Amino acid sequence: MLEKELKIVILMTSGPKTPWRCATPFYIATLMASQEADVEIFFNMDGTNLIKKGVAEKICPSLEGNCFSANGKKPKTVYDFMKDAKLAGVKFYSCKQAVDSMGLTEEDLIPEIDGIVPASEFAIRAMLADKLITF
Amino acid sequence: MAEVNGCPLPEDRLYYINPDKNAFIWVKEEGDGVFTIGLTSVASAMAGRLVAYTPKKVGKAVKKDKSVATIESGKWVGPVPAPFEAEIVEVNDALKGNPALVNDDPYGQGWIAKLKPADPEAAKAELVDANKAAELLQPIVQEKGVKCG
Repeated sequence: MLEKELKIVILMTSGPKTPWRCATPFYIATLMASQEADVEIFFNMDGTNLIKKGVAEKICPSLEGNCFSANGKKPKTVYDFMKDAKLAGVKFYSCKQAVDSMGLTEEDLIPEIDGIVPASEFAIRAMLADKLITF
Repeated sequence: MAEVNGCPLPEDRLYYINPDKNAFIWVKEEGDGVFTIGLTSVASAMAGRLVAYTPKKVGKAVKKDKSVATIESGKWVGPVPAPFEAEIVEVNDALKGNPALVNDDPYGQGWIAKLKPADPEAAKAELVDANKAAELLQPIVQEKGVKCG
């Protein structure tokens, strides 16, 4: 376990167009937060689609991208991975410019979002972070 | 033995159940102010077969609900939250080589850590017995479709 609490910023640009890229970023964020890192995920590009209500809960992180119930067990969706990250203390932020360009409002986004911030806010936090990861 | 959806909850210990903190922990008083903690059978079923166990160091002080160890399965990773503020006095070296002991023997060899709180009586204040734990876990297992055995 690390002694120092690190500040990690993750830029999440992957989304529904590449479902197989949508679980690992949240898994890694959860892992880092579980080891006391201060983790923030900024959603942009196709990643903005993941934070729209009703989207991530229909995506499974597979090549097919579709969720189906196998053997009666509830499948783990991308939204489930996102909720794991939130439970571990990861913060979610959406890019204001991306949200505006898609004609979305706060009401259109999942309740797990901690804020809608301008790109400049992401830029500042990325420069001040101990680590910046892009997915 | 109390149980919920086939998941046993031994009555010789207490439990810390807090879904908001993903805490589904058993707590057993060992004497000398030391408590052993581990995952309930419900928690180990939800986590899936573990592939990694990374505890904090012995001697580290942890606050309540802060991570004592990180556990990983193929599809899930998360902290094991401390049920109370305490010092970590021992970690389970057997889990480092065989994390799946948490799944195979959650109440025995699969223990997560041993903790020593500053005030053992206060530490026990928020813990519940097996029957109450089963009651608190019932909605969780229903929502997540958890079954044991």
